[in-house]
Amino acid sequence: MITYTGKKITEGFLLALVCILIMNGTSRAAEYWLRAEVTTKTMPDASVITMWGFAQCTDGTYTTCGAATVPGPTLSVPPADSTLTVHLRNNLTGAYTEPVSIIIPGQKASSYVPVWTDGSPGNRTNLTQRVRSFTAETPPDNTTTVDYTWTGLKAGTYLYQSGTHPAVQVQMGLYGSMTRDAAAGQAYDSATTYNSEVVLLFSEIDPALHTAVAGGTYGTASYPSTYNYEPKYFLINGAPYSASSVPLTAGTVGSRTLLRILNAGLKPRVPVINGLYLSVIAEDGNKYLYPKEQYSVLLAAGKTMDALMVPATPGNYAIYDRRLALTNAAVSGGGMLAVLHVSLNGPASQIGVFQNAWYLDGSGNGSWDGTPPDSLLAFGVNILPGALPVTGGWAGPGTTRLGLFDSGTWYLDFNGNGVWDGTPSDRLYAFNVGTPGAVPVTGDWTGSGTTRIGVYDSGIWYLDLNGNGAWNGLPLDGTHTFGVGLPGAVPVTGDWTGSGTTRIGVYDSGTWYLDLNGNGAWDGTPGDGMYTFGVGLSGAVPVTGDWTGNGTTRVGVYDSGIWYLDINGNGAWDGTLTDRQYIFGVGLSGSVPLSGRW
Amino acid sequence: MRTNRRLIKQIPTVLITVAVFLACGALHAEGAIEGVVSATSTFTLTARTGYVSTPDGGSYLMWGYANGPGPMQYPGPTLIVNQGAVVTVNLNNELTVPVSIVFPGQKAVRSTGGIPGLMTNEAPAGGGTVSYTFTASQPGTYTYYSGTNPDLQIEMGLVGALIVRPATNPGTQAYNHADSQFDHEYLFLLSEMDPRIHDLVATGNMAQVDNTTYFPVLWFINGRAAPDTMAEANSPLLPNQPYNCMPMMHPGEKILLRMIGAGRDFHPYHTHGNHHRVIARDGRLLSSGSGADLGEQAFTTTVIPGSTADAIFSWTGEKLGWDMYGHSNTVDPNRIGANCVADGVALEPGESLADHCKPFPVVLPSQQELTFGQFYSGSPFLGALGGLPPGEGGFNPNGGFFYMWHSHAEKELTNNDIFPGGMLTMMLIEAPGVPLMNP
Ligand SMILES: [Cu+2]
Repeated sequence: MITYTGKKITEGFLLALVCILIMNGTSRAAEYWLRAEVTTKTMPDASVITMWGFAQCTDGTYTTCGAATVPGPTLSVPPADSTLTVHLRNNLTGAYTEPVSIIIPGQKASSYVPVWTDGSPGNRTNLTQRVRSFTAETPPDNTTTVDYTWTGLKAGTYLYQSGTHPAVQVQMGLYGSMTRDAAAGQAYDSATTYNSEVVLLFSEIDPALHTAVAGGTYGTASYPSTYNYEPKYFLINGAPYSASSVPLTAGTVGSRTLLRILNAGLKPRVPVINGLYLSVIAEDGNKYLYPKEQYSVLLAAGKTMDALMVPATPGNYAIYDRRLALTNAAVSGGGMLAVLHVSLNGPASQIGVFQNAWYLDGSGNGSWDGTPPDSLLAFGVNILPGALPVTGGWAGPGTTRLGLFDSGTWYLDFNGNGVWDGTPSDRLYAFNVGTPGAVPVTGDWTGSGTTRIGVYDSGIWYLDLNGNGAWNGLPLDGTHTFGVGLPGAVPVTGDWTGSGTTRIGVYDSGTWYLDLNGNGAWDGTPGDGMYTFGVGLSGAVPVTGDWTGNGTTRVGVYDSGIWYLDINGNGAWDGTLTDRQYIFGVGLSGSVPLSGRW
Repeated sequence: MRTNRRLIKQIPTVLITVAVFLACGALHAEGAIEGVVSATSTFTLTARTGYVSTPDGGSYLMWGYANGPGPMQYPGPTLIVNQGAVVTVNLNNELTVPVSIVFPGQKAVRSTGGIPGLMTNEAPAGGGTVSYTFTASQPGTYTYYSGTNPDLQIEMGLVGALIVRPATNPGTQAYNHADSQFDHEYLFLLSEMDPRIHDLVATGNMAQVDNTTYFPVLWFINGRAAPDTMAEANSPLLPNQPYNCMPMMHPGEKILLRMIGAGRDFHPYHTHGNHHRVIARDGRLLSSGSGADLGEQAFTTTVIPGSTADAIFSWTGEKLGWDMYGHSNTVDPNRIGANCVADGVALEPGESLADHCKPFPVVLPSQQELTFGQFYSGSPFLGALGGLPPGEGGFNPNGGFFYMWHSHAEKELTNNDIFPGGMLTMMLIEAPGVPLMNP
């Protein structure tokens, strides 16, 4: 067994901060806790397929785990980490189980001892032994934890999969993607920078095997082996295309979107994209000397390919298997097809603070320069001492405008001149709902392109859906219950998924609860998102913004002038190589962080 | 390569038309790809049904793109346009299902009319129309096919080639660089067929089609299975398969192979006689910035479904091991190559220097000890005819050299399990001065 000790990424926020200060060039280790489990997938034709998947757990107690998924969780190793450890448990149950393991072709495992069909590890000792596992096995007892460690990690896109009886276990679903960037936003080097990424993991299902495994008949006369493999379902990211599939967010016009394309299936595929060329930059985690301009990608079984795309026009781009696995069983209109949604480009959010004046980082360099394009504005500060700052696109998309909220009354700089001009040039709203303790929230609740107002009152949200600035009650306006029971929580808003609509969330002492699916209710993960970002920074307050300009709002915290921004969008602080730290507002006691496009 | 002897015994009568055609003399001095050219770069395609023939006697229902009011054809018309042209393709649909066209590799294709589909707008069944417009901004070899249920409709035949000629030397270059210069160009649109699907559609059982059990037993180049690949283009015997594939060249010339993966399987396409140099894929030169400097020599190129590859092939007789013209040095038979030139024996056009004046290395067996094929001229020398038994050598009236070019997945050299056939043709090298008669 491989032994390894280290720290948890998800709880390593403080330690990571320390690392920023004291560690330069020292290698760090990423850790994941995975557990193999039985799960099911429901196909568009209502067939229910028994799968084996990996669930991600928070620590070595394996008490807090997400649901098992196929593909398994993406292992996004931060650039600063040169070592990866996966702690594995095996909770496979049912009529037929096997020991499992994890291998990552292309990365260097610290140990690679095979296990033979008689169960013995090490060198082959007699000719009746055949190999059963490429590496140490984790038995299906849901107790034993086996550690798999890879050192000297290479940058790139990799497939991880079970290395035990892969003829069965890979088909059953024990696979996923592992990625590591060379540096923040750089896949391999400065020539392969990207603004956003999409993982496209191709795989297949032959239900006959899954039925045999579920029924315990695998290896018997009725289903002796996978010899007659004939897949019937063709998946991208674990799901075949169907009419209810939603487009994948794939960056913005003019920006560089990295497609990480993997094939966990047994057949070669040829993804073809309509209307675009791809710059194919790497294969099996090895960067090409020269990129290849192609609209098709030859994707052999087990292979990974990386390609950049820079779309010139917004819209939906179909990418599909030109080997024509475009059916769900025999029914056309499904299979390996995904739609990539490219949105109009927007500039990245800039930061600012309010403390009896507005300090706005118009240059976007993350520091207060005191000269244009940074700006110091006094919107409303003399007439409304004690009011809370609010910002938004009151008159539509474009430059973010200022506003103040004072006990239910809103003063909005509608004309955007940075001065309170009174009505009708500016807007004065009375949004009278909730208790006096209600705090302001803003967002484009309906995808109209215009920021609207609302208040958060101890877990109850009141949103001005119709945009008239007044509370009209249901159904003209809207309410949500999100955050009740978290008395210290503060509301956060943003377009968490690049949907074009602002969604809600709350921040409670470093834990973020985000309404990813946009239904206004907390559904737990994975439907919604729970992040740990800011734990241990007792004075920190949340701040959200589209830090990369890719159309997706990401999280951050502001702690007395120090900003920690989640640039890569994984909801965790990965250090300054991957994420970003700014000093802006130090010395302005009581300052409130802002984000916008000034 | 299989022996010609066995091959020729099974060539059906269709090939006779080649021999007749060869005897008719030259119509074109230069190989050019059969296709449709439009002064306005506007094309009208009609999706309709028809039947293709296979050399084993088969006849299969197809859906294909017809050129305007013409017959269904497989593959669809090869659309030939110039770089920079604004291309309009009007699609009329006479099928009983919606149909469409996608043009991978073309950017900003706008569709007008029709009904929204998954990939593009579609022409509704039974007389519907839709129109596509795009600017052919980059030269190269491209494909087009139905974006509507492509798993079925591409199999049924709704696929074709698009050629965009470069602004520079459009008649003799594939791209805007001299690395793509050619003397003759040929299309190799490769596809396969599972006849069960066509039979199900023909018998009204389309709902029973199951692509997950796909098992092709027929293979095509430009819509024809060998030996029909070698029959003339626009043969009246093959009214729905107008395109042939009979590459020809003189020594030292360059052939451009425009290869397209039109089906769903990979086909390792193999050139006998010499390597070819793949210079472009998907309509883009393999380049680090200077011509086709990243081009790759290969004797087999895997043709990828939906993808295209362009390659340049040349042949000079280099390393053949004898002087293919039968030159000999009368001054000193041991002085070959440059020495033979110095002794006054000039090189023929395109001839490799190394074997110049090298004697033929073996004594040919007598006729009684040989089995003959229709491609053998009776002589080992290019452009020469030797003694043959009556009735032999009929396909080679000018003493050319034949090389089989074929899929190297050997099962694909059959028609319904009968060898030879399928994805196979002959490349013919004719002596300098012999006119090339194809297409
Ligand atoms: Cu051969």
